[in-house]
Parts: sequence; C-alpha cells; structure tokens
Amino acid sequence: MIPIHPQACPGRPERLRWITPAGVLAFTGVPDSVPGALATLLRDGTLAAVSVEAAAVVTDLAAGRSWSRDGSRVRSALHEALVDPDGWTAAAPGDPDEPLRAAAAALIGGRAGELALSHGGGLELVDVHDGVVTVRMSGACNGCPAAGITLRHRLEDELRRRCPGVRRVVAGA
Amino acid sequence: MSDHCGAPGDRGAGGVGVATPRIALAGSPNAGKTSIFNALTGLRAKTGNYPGVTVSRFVGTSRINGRQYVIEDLPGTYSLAPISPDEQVMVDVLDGRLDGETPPDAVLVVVDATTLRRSLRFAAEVIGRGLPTAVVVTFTDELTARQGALDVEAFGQALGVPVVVVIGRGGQGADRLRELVDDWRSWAAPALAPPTDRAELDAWAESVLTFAGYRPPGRHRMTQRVDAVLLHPVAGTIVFLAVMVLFFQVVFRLAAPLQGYVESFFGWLSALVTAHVHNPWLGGLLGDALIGGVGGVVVFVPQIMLLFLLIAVLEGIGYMSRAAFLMDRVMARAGLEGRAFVSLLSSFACAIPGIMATRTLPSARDRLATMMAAPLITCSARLPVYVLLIGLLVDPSARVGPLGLQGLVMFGMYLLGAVSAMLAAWAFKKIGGRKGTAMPFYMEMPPYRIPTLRSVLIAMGESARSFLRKCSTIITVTTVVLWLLLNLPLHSAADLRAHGVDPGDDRAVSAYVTDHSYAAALGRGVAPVFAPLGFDWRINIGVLSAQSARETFVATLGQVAAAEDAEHPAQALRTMTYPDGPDAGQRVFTAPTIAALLVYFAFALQCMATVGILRRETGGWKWPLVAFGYLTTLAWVMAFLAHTVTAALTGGG
Repeated sequence: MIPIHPQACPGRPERLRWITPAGVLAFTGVPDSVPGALATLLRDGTLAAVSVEAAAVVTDLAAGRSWSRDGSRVRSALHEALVDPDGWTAAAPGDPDEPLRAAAAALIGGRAGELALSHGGGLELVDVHDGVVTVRMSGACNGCPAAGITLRHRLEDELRRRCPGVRRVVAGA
Repeated sequence: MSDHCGAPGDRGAGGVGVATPRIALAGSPNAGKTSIFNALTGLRAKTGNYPGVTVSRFVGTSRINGRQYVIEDLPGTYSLAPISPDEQVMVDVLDGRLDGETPPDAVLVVVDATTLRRSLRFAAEVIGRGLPTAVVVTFTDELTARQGALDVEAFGQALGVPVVVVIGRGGQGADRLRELVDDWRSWAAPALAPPTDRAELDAWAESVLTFAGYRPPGRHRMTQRVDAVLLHPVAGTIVFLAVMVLFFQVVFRLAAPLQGYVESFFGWLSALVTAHVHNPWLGGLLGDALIGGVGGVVVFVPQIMLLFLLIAVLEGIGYMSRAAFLMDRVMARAGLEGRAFVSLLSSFACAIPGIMATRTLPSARDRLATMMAAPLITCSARLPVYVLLIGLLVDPSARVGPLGLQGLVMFGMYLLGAVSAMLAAWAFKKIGGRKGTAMPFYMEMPPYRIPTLRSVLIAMGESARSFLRKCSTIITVTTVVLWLLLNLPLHSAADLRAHGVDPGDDRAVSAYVTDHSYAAALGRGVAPVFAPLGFDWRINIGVLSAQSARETFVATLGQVAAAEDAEHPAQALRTMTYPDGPDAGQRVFTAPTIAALLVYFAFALQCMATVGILRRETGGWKWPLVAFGYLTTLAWVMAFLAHTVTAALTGGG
C-alpha cells in the first residue's frame, strides 16, 4: 500500500491534498483517465476533480458531499488507484515546472517565508525554470553570510521532499 | 501552510456552558503524561520511569489566564481496543460511558518522540473519536540526543491538529501548552479523520512520519550496552539480587544514625514530660502511650523515607522495568504474566495500590490470584516491625564479609515475602482451574534516564507524609485504647498492699497494674493459641493490636517497655522476662520467639485496609475472608516451624 495522508487546503473545504511519496505517478496535472476505483467516484458524482502534483494527488469533492461521510471511500479508492500507476494517463503535457512553482510559492508564502521574516528579512519567488528555483532575498537576509545556508537547508530540502524535480535553489537579484 | 484550515469550530463542545471545561490527557504508558499533568496543574501526582504508574484516574485543576480547567490524567494504554479494566476506563471516559459523565471537552494526546511510530497509531485512534484533540510531543530532547529528527511543524500540518512540544523534565514548552489549552475551542480539526482500517492506518502513519521528516532515534547506545547485561537471564538475575542486597544494606546503615537523632529527640521530650508533668495519668498518657508508643513508630521515618527514596531512584532510572522483565520469566513459570508483576511490585510500598493495580490484568483468574498474593509482599508497614525485631535478634556489628548481617536478614525477609507471593499466586492459579490463553503483554523498556530531583523528592515526601498521617491517626488511636486497657482497672492502695506491693514504689506499682490489667487478661486469654510460638501475653497484645496496622506492634511494645523502664526502652525489651507461668524469669525475646514473630508478620494479613480494598475490588466478602483465613493460618504454621527450627539450631527454647 502506498503511504498517503490527506491535508486540508486553506479556504478550500472541498479540497484535500493527499500527500504521496514523490514520483509515484510519472506526470503532473489533470489526468486524462484514472484507474477504475477512482473513475467510479468521478462518475457517480462523489468527486468533482482529480489532479496530480509531484508528491500529491489533489481531490475536489462534488457539491453536497462531505469529507466526513465520503472521505474514507475516497481514501480507499485512491489507495487502490495508486498501486496501479499504469492506469493513470496524462493529459496534454503542460508546463513541467508548474508543480515545482506551486510548491515553492507555497513554501515561501508559508514556513520558509516566516523563517526569513523572523530573522528580519524577506524572501520572494522570482522564477522557476527547468528545475532551478530563483528567489530574491531582501532586508536583513540580503548579503547575510548565513543566508545561503538558510536557503539551501530550508527551502531546497523541503522542496526536494515535495518535488523531486527541483535541481537547485539560487539567489537572484 | 494549512494549520488553520478544516473549519475550526465548536465541534464536540455540546453541553459546555458555564461548566468548567474538562481536558483529558491520553497516551501510551511512560510517554510522560503524568509530567504533563503536573506541569498543567501543579499537582504533585507521582511520576516514575515505569509503565503503568497511573492506575486509575487523576483529576486536577489548572488556572490559565484566569480561567479554570479540569485536567484528567487517564491510565496509559497502547490502544483504544481495551483488553484490561484500566484500558477500559480510558475508553469509557473518552466515549462518555463512565457513570453519568459526559465525554471530556477536549483531549491532549501525549506522544513520546522516541517511539513516535507506535504512539502515532494511538493518536490516530483518539483523533478519530472526533473530540477536539491536540498532540503534545515529549522527549524531543532525547530524540535529538540520539540522532533522531522530527519537524514538529510539518508533523502538525500532516496531522491537521495543533502540536506542541513539551520537555517534561525542564518544563520547557509548558507555557505554550497552557496557552494552547486555554485556546481549546479553536483547535484545528482534520478535515478527514485518520483511517481505521489496519493497513490504511499503517500507510497513513508512514506518510505522516515521512512528511514530518521523522528519523527514529538510534538505539540508546548506553541503554543497549547496559541492557545486554541487565536483561541477561543469568547476569541480570545476579545483578538484580546484588542491587537488592545493597538496597537493604543502605536502608540499614544510612538510616541508623538518622534514627538516632529522632530517638534522642523523643528522649528529650520524655525527659521534659517527666520533669514537668506531675499528674500520673497525664504523665503516663504522654510518656508511655504517645512518646513511648507512637514515638517508637515515628522513629522509623528515616527508614521509610530512605526506602522510598531508593525505590524512586531505581524507578526513575528505569531499572524497575528491567526487573519486571527479568521477573516476567519467573512469573511465567508460575503461570502469571508480566502485568501481575507490576502489581506485585507496587505492593512493596503498600498492598493497596498493588491490589488496585491488578485492574490492568485482563484475565479475571490472574487478577484474583495476584490479589491473593499481593498481601504477602513485604509492604512498608512491615519495615518498622522488621527493623525492631532484627535489631533485637542480630548484633548490629555482625558482618558477613563486607555486608552487615542485619541488612542481609532484612533482605531475606523481603525475599521470603516475594517467593511466598509467587507460590501463593501459582497455587491460586492452579485452584482456579483450566489454563487460560495468554494475553499479550507489552512492557516498554524505557531508556535509562537520570531521574529528576523533583520527582524523587515528591516520592519521598509523599511516603513520609502518609506514614506520619498513619501514625497520627490509626496508630495513635489504637495506642491510646491499648494504654487504657493496660492501666485499667484501677487498684486502690489497700488493694496493692494486700497483694504485697508497696504503693510508694512506682516501678512495682506499674508492673503490678500492667500485669493485672484488662489487656493482660486479653493477652492471657489468647495465650493457648500463641504459646507454641513462644509469645507471652505482651507479645500477644502486640500482635492483636497490629491487626489495626502492623506498625502498632512497635508502638505496643514501646509502651510496654516504657512502662518498665522509660529511660532505656530498647534495653527493657531485650531483658524482658516472663513474670509468671512455667517460663517465669526466662527472657521473652529469645531467638526462636523473634524468628517466629518475624515469620508471623511476613505472612499474616494484619491490615484492615487491605481487607477493605479486597472487598471493594472483588465485590464481596468471600475473597477477603479467604485471604484472611489462609494467610493467618499460614502465618501461624510458618511461625511455628520457624520457632521449632530456630530452637533446634540454637539449642534453646
């Protein structure tokens, strides 16, 4: 059984992000087709949408459904679907950097950004291209000799846990 | 990132209006719940590095930012699928099934960071109950020290509930915990409860731990090395016995000088009474009954405190769990499981918590067998009696190699109690009938930890307090009653003269009065029963009075001795002779008599509180009566044997 656990998404009560090990599915984005168990839930109106991230599967409940009632069915279906990665087919290839960009933005908007703030600095996402994440440091962080280590350890490690596609994090102007 | 999603709300808060919010503490044994409880309430519940310390529920209150909270410490359990009565308590409380009680308003799950994988399944079960839940992570300091890792923030994000780190020993994080408790109404709840299916739960736990960057601690290297010796069947047993021998050496050697100070204090009090109190009745009551009697028991405070200090240290270090593990193999031979040992171990302090601890036993038959055996374990009430009797029997300077003989005899008495308890349990298990299926028993081997000074001092202070409480209540009452019995009826001067006693000679009068008192009549009345054991009427009175509490025996003898020679009571006891009868003029406290007394006290059920608790726990009078009957008979028979054997060995009676 593939280890998964759900996390809620701020402001989106109908959405759960199921954290999976990185790289279980070979693609990201909205799948063209999903294995039987999950497809059934999409068909019978339990789920409204399923999309794949680098280390997560995002499921949206259809209107009128609730996680407390339907959640365990979704979980079981997902478990069943994840052991069959070949049953998932990718839709048209999108921007391959998109999941990494989303993850980096979330981290910088969240814990990594808070850490920078707590040190009197700021962190800003400049660009994500070909697995390289470029960030801009401001305030006390700019020019701080510890900034490089902070970046590497915090951002890169955490990003790697979520998106194996990350190559490195660099500081940009 | 999403710590606050999942619509925080008043879930489960139904019925909470003006009432004080009730917060329950749950967790696996030895996760540090009781330390968290103490940190929240400031209440000094006893803590120990020993699974199963909390048997029933502890309730305390906490005042945070001017608001009152009821904090409830639940028994430690590894799972919400209960297999024993105390685990049942926990589940019943969480489900609100306990007599007329609503479920708690919120639950704090305490998890040990060093055993997070297992604790997490339990936390999942609690979160799944749907009550507002927060997780308290303990022992992160130890996790780090042992090269483990945990990202607490990511852990909280994965769980979807608030997570706070509290390091029990230093109290770090206690303030954050208090703020969190105060904020319980807005705790985040997971959008979807953790799975209940076994395989899905495993997958969930795995995923959560990975997300939180959890790296389990390396095996505690020192613990591993030490355990290789201490848990070895042969080496471990040798070490265990050596530790116990040393234990009693310490109790005897260190306590003796301290006891001397307390004794000289009472000597000073006694002199004060003689000098200033001229009313013979008041003087007798103060000098003989209170100072000679009750004071004679109070002098054992150093021994009691030392005993509990050593137990607290061994428990805090984590040695008791190893002892339990070793003994589990022995117990298995007797057909009992490890939980029974936990209960028997508690009985070294007092049989009452020991008998209450049998609630952890899943099998009713095991439970009964353990309850019947628990009173045989040498409880702390026997300590003063043993110290007094061993002091009369063995010269304090006698040595066997480097070890004091007194300490060794004491060790022997404890061993006798333990072995008899095992045999009794085995016998009752046999009587109980067919062999039941063995229930699984987890016993965690906590890593060795240096106990905190605070927890050791609490254990010591607690023991001294309850000992002094016992002295000031039941022992004082019994002693005063006995003093009356020893001094009544009144004799007129003419009456005394008629029996050839000079009313001017205080000592002669006192001896005559005592010898013709109601107590003497009572003691002589039961003489036929105890004569074969070598007891005279004064010892009989002591044994009978000990039925209220064992320590009263010491008080009674102290009183009798004080009546004979208030200045040197110890000397008076040693040289006490039979006043009449076939042995008139012979010394009372001969070796065979003392041996018989020691053995009698080792076996007899002379504790009404134990009888009471047996009745409560078994729900009837049958088993307490069985216990009382078999233990008293056994005590007499074994004491008779001890008397005969010692007499044969020493060549005297």
